[in-house]
Amino acid sequence: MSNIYRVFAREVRGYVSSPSSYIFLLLFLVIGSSLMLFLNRFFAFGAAQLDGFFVYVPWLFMFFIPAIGMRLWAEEKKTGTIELLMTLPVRDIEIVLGKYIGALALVLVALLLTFPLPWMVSSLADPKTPFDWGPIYCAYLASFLLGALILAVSAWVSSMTENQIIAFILACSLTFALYLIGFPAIVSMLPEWLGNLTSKLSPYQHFSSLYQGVIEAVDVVYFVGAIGLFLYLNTRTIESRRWA
Amino acid sequence: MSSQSVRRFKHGSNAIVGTILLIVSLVAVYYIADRSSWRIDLTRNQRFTLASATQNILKRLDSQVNVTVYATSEGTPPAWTEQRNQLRDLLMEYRSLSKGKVKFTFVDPSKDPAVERKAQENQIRRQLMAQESAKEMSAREGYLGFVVEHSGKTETVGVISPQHPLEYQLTMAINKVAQVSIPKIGIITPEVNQYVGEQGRYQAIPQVLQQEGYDIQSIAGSNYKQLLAADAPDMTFLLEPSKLSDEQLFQLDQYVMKGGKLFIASSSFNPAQPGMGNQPNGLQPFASPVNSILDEYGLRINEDLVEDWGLGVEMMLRTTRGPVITKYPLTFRITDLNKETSATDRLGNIAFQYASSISQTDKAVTGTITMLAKSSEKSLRQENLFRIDPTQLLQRPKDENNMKAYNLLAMANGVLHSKYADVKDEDLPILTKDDGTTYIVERANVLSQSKEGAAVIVSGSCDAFGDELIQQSPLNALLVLNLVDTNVRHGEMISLRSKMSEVPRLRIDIPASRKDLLQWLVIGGVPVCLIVLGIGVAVYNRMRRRRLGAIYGSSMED
Repeated sequence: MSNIYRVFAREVRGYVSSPSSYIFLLLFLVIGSSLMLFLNRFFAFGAAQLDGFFVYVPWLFMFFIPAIGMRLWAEEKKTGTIELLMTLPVRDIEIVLGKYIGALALVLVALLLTFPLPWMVSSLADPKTPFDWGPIYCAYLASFLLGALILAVSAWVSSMTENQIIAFILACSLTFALYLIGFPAIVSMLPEWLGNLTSKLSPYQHFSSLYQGVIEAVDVVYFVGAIGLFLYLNTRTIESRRWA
Repeated sequence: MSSQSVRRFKHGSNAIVGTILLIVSLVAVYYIADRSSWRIDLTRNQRFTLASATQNILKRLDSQVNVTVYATSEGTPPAWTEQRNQLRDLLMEYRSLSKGKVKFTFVDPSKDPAVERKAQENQIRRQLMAQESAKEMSAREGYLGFVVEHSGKTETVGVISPQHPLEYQLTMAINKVAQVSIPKIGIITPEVNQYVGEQGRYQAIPQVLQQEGYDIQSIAGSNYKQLLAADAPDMTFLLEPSKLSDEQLFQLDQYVMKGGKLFIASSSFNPAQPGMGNQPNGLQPFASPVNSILDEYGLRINEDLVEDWGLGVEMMLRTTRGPVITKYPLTFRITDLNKETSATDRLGNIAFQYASSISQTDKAVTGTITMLAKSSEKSLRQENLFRIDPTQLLQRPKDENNMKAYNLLAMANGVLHSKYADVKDEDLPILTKDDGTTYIVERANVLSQSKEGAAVIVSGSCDAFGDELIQQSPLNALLVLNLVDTNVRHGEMISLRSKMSEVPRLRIDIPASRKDLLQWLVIGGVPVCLIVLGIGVAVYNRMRRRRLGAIYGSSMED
């Protein structure tokens, strides 16, 4: 556990002193809140809801999180520091988890910094139809789990290549495809059995179900399981350097 | 094979087997979780949990209910697919909660002509399904409706309405066919002359109530003897009473004394007054005929007309200076609804028009009086000659000191007192028998105190329940349904109905400057803090490098 913490602390220190993490946070916050307030015409519609923000979160994540994930391993490989990491008396899974949790902390900070949005909406809500915090908490949980899944996919893709650009493009495409196969428009074009399968495989249905305000066992199991699977694959890929 | 190849093969196969095992175990856990009903509904109204009304109705089912869903299954637009899947999930929950008494089947009329014929026989309507793709927009016809059958009775929902929650539509249909005793609602409306094409303006309320499964009984004529019959309505609506005979008043009063529920929607002025058409000003205040019995219950409809300058509805007027958009204070929204009563708790707002205020009488009232709705704090009363011409009501009054809120909807229940308990024997009304002969009511037959369950609800506006306003403000219809439900079915359907009525709204009085300030603060506030923090960290790192450079040499500074 202490090894995971050491790797995690090293990652976090890297993020704090790196301008790229500030740029990531800044762009995410400005684009996210502008999309809700201007593109979605929040004040014109007059509904005290945050759907206009959370509906864009998956798309923002599909672009921003691969940008964080691409450097997790690809950079270590390119600069050669991975050799140093591999020689440390730390298990591969501990390195994978430490690096992953470090990057996940950045995603969590990005989400937490959007809290002024629900605060603003709740303060402007009509007391006769009070603001409902339940779905907001669920939407944050859904966004966090989706972010964690996209990061796990990106980290795994990053572990397979040295090139950060390739890692970024591959991770974006993979998460985009995974998300898209659950879209009702796509599902309705497929035969019923295939549509059912793809909608269960895609994070779209699970994210939508969570963000409405209901935490269901199946959705939590999906996200935790999928994250676990990609972290396992990541560990195996890193491990393969030893015996390949 | 070299030792390296063997090692590669061993590790590689180990990784593949491990991955397959992990995937298999994840699929197994997912399968179990998918079948589990564990869930936490964090929405305020428990929007995604079956309402208590649904649960009670399903638990009360005495025999099997069959639901046949007629649904096109292929090539449907996403919204249809979503609704079909939701209906399937919902029916699975119903089946589990009813311990198997609700059985359902999905059939596709688009695939089988025999099923299509059956669907049409059952009044399932064919609808146009619009399908949009990147290249073109196409449309074909499809089905999405269901039939509920119980003990030979059937109820059809020909088209699933996207405006109402699925649970509401399904539970209502099951309740309609499975309810043991159907509550009866009496409706008394002003007489219309059908020979000259008059249709009356209170057709929406009976329709809405009928859709909810109530049995509607129209009460007309000069005699309300149905109210005192053994099969009297459970609740009666008296809409826009203009003239009531002593006999009718007595029958209404005794109906309440027998435990009946009476809803009165009064007019503030008599529309039959001369001058209404050409001179819409100078209308005389109207003394409601029901006040004589209401006084004893503790309520009174005042002879006034409420102007609400705070929540008046905007309308366009043509004046000599051109069109003007103004708030008409005689048609207004009511947002001050009683939060303690389930009938009004979650409505948000309702619309009223030409309303009289309601006040409490100073008689020793034995019942409980509850005020259900008030106008805004910016209200005035017209007390003499009424002005209703919009052009006369363009300017908001400058002196706002006299403005205050007025009660517009009230309820009296508990033990209510009859005015006939105290009148002399010779003043008791004369009633008419079926054969047309008359007789004076005997003292022994007069009930002086109401039985358990009696309730009287008084609205200062009859227009609020007319077809025109109900069309503009569907929440008024919802108020009627909630009030009936509270009084007749212990309010069990309210929780289900409220699921569709509540959408959190922003306050309407937010100044534009505050909106601008808030949105720029939200967009820019945190990013500015981040930039400051980033610069701080960069400066700190630079200083640290310099300090280290001073200790260990200049190479640390690079």
